[in-house]
Amino acid sequence: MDDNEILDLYFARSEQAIAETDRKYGNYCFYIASHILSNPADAEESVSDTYFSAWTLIPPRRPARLSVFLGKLTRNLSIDRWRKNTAGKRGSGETQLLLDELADCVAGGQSPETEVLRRELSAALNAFLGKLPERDRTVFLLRYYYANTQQEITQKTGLSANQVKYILQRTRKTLASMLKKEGLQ
Amino acid sequence: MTSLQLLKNISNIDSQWLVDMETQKAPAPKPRYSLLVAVICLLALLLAGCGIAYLLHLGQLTIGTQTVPLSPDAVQGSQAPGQTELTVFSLQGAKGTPNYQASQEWLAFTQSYTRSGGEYWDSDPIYWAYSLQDQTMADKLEEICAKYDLAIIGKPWHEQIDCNQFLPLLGVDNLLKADSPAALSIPAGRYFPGGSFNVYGTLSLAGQEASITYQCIGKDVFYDVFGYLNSDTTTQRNYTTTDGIPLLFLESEWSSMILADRETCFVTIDITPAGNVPLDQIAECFDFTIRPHAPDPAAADAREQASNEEISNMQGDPNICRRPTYTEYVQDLIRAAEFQEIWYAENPEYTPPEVTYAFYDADGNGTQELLILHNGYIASIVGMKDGITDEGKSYHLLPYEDHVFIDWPGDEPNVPGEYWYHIFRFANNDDPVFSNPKERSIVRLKKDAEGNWWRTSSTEHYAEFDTQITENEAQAMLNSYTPIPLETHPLSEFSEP
Repeated sequence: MDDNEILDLYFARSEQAIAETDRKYGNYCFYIASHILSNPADAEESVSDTYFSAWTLIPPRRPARLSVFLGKLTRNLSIDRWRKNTAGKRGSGETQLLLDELADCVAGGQSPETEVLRRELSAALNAFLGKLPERDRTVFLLRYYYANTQQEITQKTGLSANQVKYILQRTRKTLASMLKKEGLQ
Repeated sequence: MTSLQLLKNISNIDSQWLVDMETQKAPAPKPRYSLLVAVICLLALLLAGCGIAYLLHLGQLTIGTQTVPLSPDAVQGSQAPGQTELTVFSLQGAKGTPNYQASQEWLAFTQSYTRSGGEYWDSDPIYWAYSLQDQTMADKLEEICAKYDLAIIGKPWHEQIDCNQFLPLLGVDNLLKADSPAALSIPAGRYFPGGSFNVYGTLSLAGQEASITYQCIGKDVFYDVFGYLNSDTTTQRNYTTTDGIPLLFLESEWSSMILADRETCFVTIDITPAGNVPLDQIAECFDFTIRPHAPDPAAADAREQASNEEISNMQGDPNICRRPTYTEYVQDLIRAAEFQEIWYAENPEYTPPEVTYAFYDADGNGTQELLILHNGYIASIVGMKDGITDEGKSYHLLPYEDHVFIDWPGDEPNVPGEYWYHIFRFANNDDPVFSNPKERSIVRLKKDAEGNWWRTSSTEHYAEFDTQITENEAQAMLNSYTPIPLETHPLSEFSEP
């Protein structure tokens, strides 16, 4: 079913919208969730939360790209669930590795999550992504957006493990430098 | 900011980046460019040496060809995109062996198969090491393994600190010979249940450093990683080590590969770049007589966990990168700049900043701090805390009288079309130690994309721009402070105050 037709179902408040979303994007959402949450049951819960959130948000929103909209919802809900699951203790799995890697880029102090900070940060991240060569940007997004393992990145990009590792190290260094420069670290 | 905040905010990136990335993806299974990159520039066959026993040559390993797109950066110096046909060769065994036959059959299958699944297929963890994209591929993999009596390589353990701590679990003391003059740093690698492994690191020899990927695949398993080379630019030759191990060298102008077909495993060492150290000399450093065995799963689990904890501890060390003197801190900066030269070379559009330093009492507490300036703007302020340097946030600051600073917008605005200014002082609370972050905001100003000016009405650091003002008012605020000149010097001329 076409995305517009699925969105029409949401707007018509037809529960068929959830079924069609699941049919078309279920695997995609589960893929994102399962890379952040190592427990498949948690990942499934997170995907269910995504559908519920989509049901709540559409309408009034009508996303231009349903896949990206659902992917972002899944990613945020999965990170929240991961954080809840690991509250008060060191986490595990790929998400903990991602956080360990990204720890190179930040100062580590808790900053208040205000709209100003979010805007500053997303603008800085967009500027950062815009400066990266296409190949490096792809590797960065596969790792830090989709939480792919380095091995999965080598499979998807055809780059060697060494190249992926080097690109990630270099982009983290560049990101750290940019965040520092912007006073966002 | 915490890494979790950063990770979460990556969700807020422009959707177009994701759309662009999705549309770039190739529709069919891709070859392993890792080895393509490693040997892409090699030429013709050159069989050198002969004599003892069995000498490996490329013809015995070739399992097919693959046409691949070439991006301009795939071949150094080439600007012409297009396609090229590469020779695909086995990294597990020579013609006639089950490993070779399985590789050949798998290559033929993947070249003719159009995957039916989505872009992201969540496979069973035992298949994670393979380039599988749907269940049909997994079934075919199982079929081939059964046909040639080979095992699935299995779910790997990861080592992220020092592979020399994992290797003993395989019965391997060292990848180098005991008397080797080389040093091998292998911070990362993967180890498979049967004893196969691949590790990544740096070989230091004769004052040169080379990145290496060392792969050792047991002959009882099938692994779908192949070698790719351009036969027009490849040279090959045989070499026998002083302890009698026959090797095959594949060499190009900027990368090399050493292959050893051993009794129980097939070893491949991918070297980039090799510098001008002869491959013979590098090969003599490695011990090709190793016979890795399956690690004890409990010990491997424990090692993986310890590795993760070591990483965590390292990152949690609050004193990392802190030095007892400013001189040592500046030496670190100079070394980092040298390292960055590699990045600058790859990104010619980027002009590195002119880095200078000055000493200045930033917070007015009577103690001078070290200022690091980029192109005349203060980029960081370093104080001494507990007898070691303490570097805080980074800025784009100019200093003004009465210990005021203005954080000016840099070349790239925070938000396209927007320019943000922060006027503040550092608090000192009569504390002789300067320790970030402790800015006391006077006001923040913003010029938005429409040219409207805004200010904050609160001195909270992350206060919203809630009050519209005129440009004249904004300029009056910015001009109401008197700049002070700093006595700056190049880092290379650093001396303590």
